[in-house]
Amino acid sequence: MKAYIYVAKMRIQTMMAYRVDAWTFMIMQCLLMAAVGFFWRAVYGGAETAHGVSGDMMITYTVVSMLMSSLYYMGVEDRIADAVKSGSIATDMIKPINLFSLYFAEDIGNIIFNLFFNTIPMFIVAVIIFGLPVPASAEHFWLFLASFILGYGINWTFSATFALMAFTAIDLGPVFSIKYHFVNMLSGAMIPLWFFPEWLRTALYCLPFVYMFQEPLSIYIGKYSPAECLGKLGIQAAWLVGLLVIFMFAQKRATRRVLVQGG
Amino acid sequence: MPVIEVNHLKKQFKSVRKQKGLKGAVKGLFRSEKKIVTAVDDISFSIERGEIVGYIGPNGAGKSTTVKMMSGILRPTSGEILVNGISPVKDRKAVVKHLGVVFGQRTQLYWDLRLGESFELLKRIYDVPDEVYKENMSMMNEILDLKSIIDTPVRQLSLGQRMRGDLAAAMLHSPDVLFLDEPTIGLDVDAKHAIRRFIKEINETRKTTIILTTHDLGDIQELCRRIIIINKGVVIEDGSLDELIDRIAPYRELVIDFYTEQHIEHPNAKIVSSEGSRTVYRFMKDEISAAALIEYIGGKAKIKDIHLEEASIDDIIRIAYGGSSEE
Repeated sequence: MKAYIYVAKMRIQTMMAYRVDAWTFMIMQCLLMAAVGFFWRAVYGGAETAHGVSGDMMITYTVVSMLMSSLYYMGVEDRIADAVKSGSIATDMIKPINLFSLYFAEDIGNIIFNLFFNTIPMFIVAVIIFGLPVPASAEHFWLFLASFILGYGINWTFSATFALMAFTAIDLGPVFSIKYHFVNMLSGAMIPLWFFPEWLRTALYCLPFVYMFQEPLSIYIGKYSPAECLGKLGIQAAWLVGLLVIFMFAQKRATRRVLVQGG
Repeated sequence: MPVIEVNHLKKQFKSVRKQKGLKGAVKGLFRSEKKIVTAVDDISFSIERGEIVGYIGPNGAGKSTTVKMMSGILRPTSGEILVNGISPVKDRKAVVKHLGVVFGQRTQLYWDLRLGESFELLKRIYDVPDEVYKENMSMMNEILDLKSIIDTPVRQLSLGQRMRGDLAAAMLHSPDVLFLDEPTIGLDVDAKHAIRRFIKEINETRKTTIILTTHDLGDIQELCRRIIIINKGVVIEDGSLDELIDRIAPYRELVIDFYTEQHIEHPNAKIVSSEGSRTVYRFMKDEISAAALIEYIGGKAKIKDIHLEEASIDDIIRIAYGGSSEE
């Protein structure tokens, strides 16, 4: 455990060495957030509500979604792909630690860094432009927090399972970025699913993606009663366990077939 | 009980044959030709505690692949490996806990951070007690002179400094087995010397078992009492260096400079070359002694100068490789 905490700490230090990257990324995210926020304001125009959600709620949804994205950091895919491509996977494997715990610890370090260099500055910008994104109630806020953490677990496990492909294939090209945009679309991170056609919505509720963004955000803006929220948390937990089981099984098979490049 | 046992180890890779040119690359997108490459064919050896073994062979012979299988990074196609009685296939973590590995061509140090951070992390990964950590650090400080580089970010270290760092990183948890995969590659004379001194020192004081792959014959001559030569995935020689020299090149060469051109023969010495006043004789050590030969020739003509040449380790290795390098 001490080792993993140290890994996270080293990750933060490493990120500090690349602060300029972080700042430029932050500025980009702020611009995107403002654009999407003003877009929704324009869409709503004079209308009071759409699908039971007001314009203000929608802006809150957008702002919190962007803040969530900045904290949902999953470097595991690129990390494995780079390590396999460069052959440095060998130096990860000579240590008596679990590879995925190592990568998870690195991601946690990155999240802590992002919290200070991305999320908090973005939050301040959001408050200046759109005002404070208030949750439906204090209770909803705590339920959201739990849902957010479960959502990250689902997201990470899904990414890590996906990342296993990198162990045996050298050239994955833009596969990971296609996956990223796909998830972004289907999880309600950009556009809430209630704007989607009925049949698609029904289908998407059978997949884990909505539990990454849409459901935590719906809890935040108060679309569900606290009792309903608990039900949602239950489904999230079930998805997380299910995905973890698949991941465990798949990683055992994948790490057996590791490729190591170079002499 | 041997520390390392390798039995009939085999490793095959599937490799995609790339076709020539842009046209080939486009073709490859749709249909790729796969072929099976055997990197390690049939390798067996066993190594006792405290040995330093030179594991050598031409490029592409399967040295690194063997090292990677022994450290649990690659899974053998077939065959068995036991390190400290544990199979790295079954329990990688248990094996690497008592193993140090250095890959000369890559580093396990954290590129963007000061060198000391990597050591601190390893201390935690291997759960090294404070006293042991301190003791190891001071011992390595002495030979590898870490103090001067410990606060430098790894990316700013020279190759030699980085290699010193990597060696220290591999030894922090006092492993009883150390795999060194080309640790002196690309280093200058001083750095090489420091690294050899370090290897000798830990082998003597800690009885660390060391497997060293290298192309540097100086490394072998200075460090290894035993060498295993492999080529094309099989072991072709395994024994002590002296014995190998005796067997592969049991002859010596006597070079004699006369004052005038001479042609003196001896039944036990073959004349290899005779140019002007210089004649080179080749003779078997067990057939005639150098002294007897010199005395015999000296009786027939006046000798100006002599020197004796032993087959160099270069020659031995070249003969053992069978003159073949990469196909």
